[in-house]
Amino acid sequence: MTPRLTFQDLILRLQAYWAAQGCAILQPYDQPMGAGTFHPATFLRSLDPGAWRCAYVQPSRRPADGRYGENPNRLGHYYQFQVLIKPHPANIQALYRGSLEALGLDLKAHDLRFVEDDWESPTLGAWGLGWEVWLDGMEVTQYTYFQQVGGIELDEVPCELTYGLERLAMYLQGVDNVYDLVWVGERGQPGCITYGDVYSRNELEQAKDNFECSDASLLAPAFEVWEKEARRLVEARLPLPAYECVMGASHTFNMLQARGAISVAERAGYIRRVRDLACACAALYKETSRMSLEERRKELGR
Amino acid sequence: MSELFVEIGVEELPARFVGPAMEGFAAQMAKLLGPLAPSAPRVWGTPRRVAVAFSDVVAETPGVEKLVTGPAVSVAFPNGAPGPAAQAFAAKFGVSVEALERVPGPKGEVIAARRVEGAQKLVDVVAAGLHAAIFAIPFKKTMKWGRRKEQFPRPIQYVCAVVDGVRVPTDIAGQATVDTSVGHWLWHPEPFRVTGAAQWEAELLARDVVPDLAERRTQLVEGLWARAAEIGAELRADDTLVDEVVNLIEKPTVIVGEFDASLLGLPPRLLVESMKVNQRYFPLYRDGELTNQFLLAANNPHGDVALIAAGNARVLAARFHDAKFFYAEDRKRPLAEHGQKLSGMVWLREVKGASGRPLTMSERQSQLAAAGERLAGLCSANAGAVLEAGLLAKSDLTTLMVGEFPELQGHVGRKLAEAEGLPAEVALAIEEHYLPRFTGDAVPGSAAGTALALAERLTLLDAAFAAGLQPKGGADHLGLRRAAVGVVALLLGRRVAAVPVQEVFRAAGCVGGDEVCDFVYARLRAALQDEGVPTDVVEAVFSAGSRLVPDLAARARAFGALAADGRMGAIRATFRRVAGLVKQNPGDVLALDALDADAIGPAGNALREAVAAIPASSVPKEQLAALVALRPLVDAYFDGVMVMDEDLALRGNRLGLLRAIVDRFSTLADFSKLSTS
Repeated sequence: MTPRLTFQDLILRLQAYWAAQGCAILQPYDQPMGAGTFHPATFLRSLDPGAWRCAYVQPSRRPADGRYGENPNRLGHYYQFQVLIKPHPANIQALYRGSLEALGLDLKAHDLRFVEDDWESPTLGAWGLGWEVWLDGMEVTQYTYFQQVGGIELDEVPCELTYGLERLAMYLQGVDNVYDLVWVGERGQPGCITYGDVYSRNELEQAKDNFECSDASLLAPAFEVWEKEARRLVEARLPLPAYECVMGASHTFNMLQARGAISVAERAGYIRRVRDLACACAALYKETSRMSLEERRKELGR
Repeated sequence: MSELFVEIGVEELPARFVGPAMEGFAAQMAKLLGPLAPSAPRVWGTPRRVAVAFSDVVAETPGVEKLVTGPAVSVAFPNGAPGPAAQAFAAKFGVSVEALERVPGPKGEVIAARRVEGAQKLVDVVAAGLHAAIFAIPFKKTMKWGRRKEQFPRPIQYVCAVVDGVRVPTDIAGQATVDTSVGHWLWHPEPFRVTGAAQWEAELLARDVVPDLAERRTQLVEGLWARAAEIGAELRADDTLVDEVVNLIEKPTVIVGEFDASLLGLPPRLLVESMKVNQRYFPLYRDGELTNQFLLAANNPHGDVALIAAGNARVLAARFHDAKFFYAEDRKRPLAEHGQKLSGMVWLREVKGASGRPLTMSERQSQLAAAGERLAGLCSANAGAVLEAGLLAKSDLTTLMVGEFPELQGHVGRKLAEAEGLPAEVALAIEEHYLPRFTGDAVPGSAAGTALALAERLTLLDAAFAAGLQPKGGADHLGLRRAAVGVVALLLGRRVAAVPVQEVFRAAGCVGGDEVCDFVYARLRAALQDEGVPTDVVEAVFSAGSRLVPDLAARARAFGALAADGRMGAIRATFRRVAGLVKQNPGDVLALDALDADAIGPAGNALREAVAAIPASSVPKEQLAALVALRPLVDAYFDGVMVMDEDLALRGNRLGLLRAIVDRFSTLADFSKLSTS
């Protein structure tokens, strides 16, 4: 029988495992984003010259996926555990399997499979090849060898591993409802805190906002502001602040979509606009990441 | 004779690439070995390996001895002793100065060296060319890994290359080849030594890998049928799914799964497609009805079956929970109410309505309904039902269900229509108007569905061509070729009265310009050529007779059958000659009995009688049979008389008989378009 890891044990084990592989354990980025790939530690660092290894938990905001806390499987806010190693070692697939064993999974009992999945993020101008990893038919990880990021071909291929934490935890704890996950403590015992205790109310209120309350007439101009600001900061040769505006624009676009304020015809246009910004940031980041900090200081007048 | 064995160990290849990888690898290796490998290799493939073995390879070719001539003896041996020129020449060809020979040249004696050229060692050939051969295997999608520049569908882990059990030393993507392989990653991760192909296969079989694709497929199929029989369920043959699943695993283990029976209230197509497309499960039936059991093929031959089955059951419950939620939401409102939201959706940005702005999906739906209603007569459909279905045809696009499962468009509309008690005919037409979805897909079974399906495609084509959106080159983002293929399939489907394409367009209220009609005919031509009808025959058929799609197809296919039997060559030669003479010498067609019996001679008379005796028929196969029967008589006629006689009266009669033949088959084909080859 698989051990009943709490939700936080799961995170702690993954962190410990990847820390032992030399990954810097980072923290979530302090801005809403649709996926852990948006985190600058993945998106921008993929473009750095040289090696990079990191792992972190990142909350993903998917406004359109919220279900008022009424669906046991879908959330408007959930967690991804993200690993990015560049260039990836030759045994990365074995390392990944090791991470599942570190969670107490006896792979010899289960059916672990790597099923083709060609990943693409049109808003980030990024794509890669890899798999969705199935544990007894359930997708638990998105495994991708990045080929292009921000419209730029990569010479040193990063491997991105994105674990769906809630799904994995549901499997490990054997629960059918995400809100029943034990976050800390023991089920039914005093002091036990569940996922529902932490997030039920948040899911309800956020879904109400995303689907009914948010004001498209305010969000649409907000998108424009993020966009203008991103452009202005790219002009000012500040890729990191500019990229924060790209994340802002992307999240605002997701909010507009959840509100049903974007037609199919407009949708492609919005995606293109975010992609253009992301690509502009990526190009500037790549260019400036070849400079030393001293050179950057000089360029920026410090 | 030697045996060459090469295995590429790779991280899980996409299932659809395993076949191409096997084929491509075998082809590239055969190309590399050339004459060294007299026969075809054996090929194996799983998601984690592709291997080839050539069992009777020449280890070394002897080469040809050749005499290479050099400078004049006077230059090479200036004082009778070898000078620098002789030494350089000897060194260049790897012989000693003493071994140099003297042979006569055009300007006196020159020195020469004997050497063997063209000798090849198998090991050298493989070592030099293996890397290039591997990366020349064509794939639709490839990637780079690590710091390497090479492209392959997934990272290569090792390449095992042995000749008679001895490693071929070379580097593949920066990594030295090995003389080992590895079994199932989970149970047998320790490498084992490879001494030959047969030993390798036996070792793998003992290590939970069935490397032979056909054998693995047989095991999978037998496993599926056996498990289904054990639990008394019906399995439906699905080669596409089997072909995919067999390449998701290295050794099949078929397991029975079960999902919550309450989910069976969802549309069956949703359950079936979700099981097949998302999860690669094989749905099971009892008495023709879908059950909540399914089969899956796991890649763990010694796993905990109950655990794996339980895990898989949860996936379906989770996935279908969404569907249940969506379906429950969608069913709260009638289809027409869902349709109201269509006014907020744009059909195609490039297609403008009368107002000058793009047509909304709502306007598109009305347009479709109107066109469908007009086509009802042509399709023997109930115009009222077509109109009613048309006005709801796109309404399910705004449902949560179709938003989440776009492939269910039409099906959800039908189910909602049925649930609210609309006539079955209307509900069915809503679903069927999307048919055929791709080349070779089914056409609608109902008349109303046919009318609406035709309307859908004709109006799209007409609007796109009017807006100047004709496909250019390979780009066809509006799917116009697919639409035209659909029109052809519908017109061939026996539910539409046979009228020329332009009239079908006009019946739908479309402009149906020449360009768009030609576009549809072009799809028919292409389809016929794909079926194997020779290009010149298609041309001959399209240049004569009616412009009715079923008739064109029937005539072309009749000829195609002839070509497939190898009987077209003689027909071509004879009737092209007939048509050529008639074309070069235009004149009136005379009645057969007006021809002068003496002028056309005995062979002509026999031919005339045969032509006159051809039974009137509009069935292309029968017409063609008559043509085939006529052919020897025509040949005999050409042998017996000189058609282009200088005597104009004779010539007129003789040509007249040929004109009568051309005229007799004028609705079958234009023989002048047949090629000589």
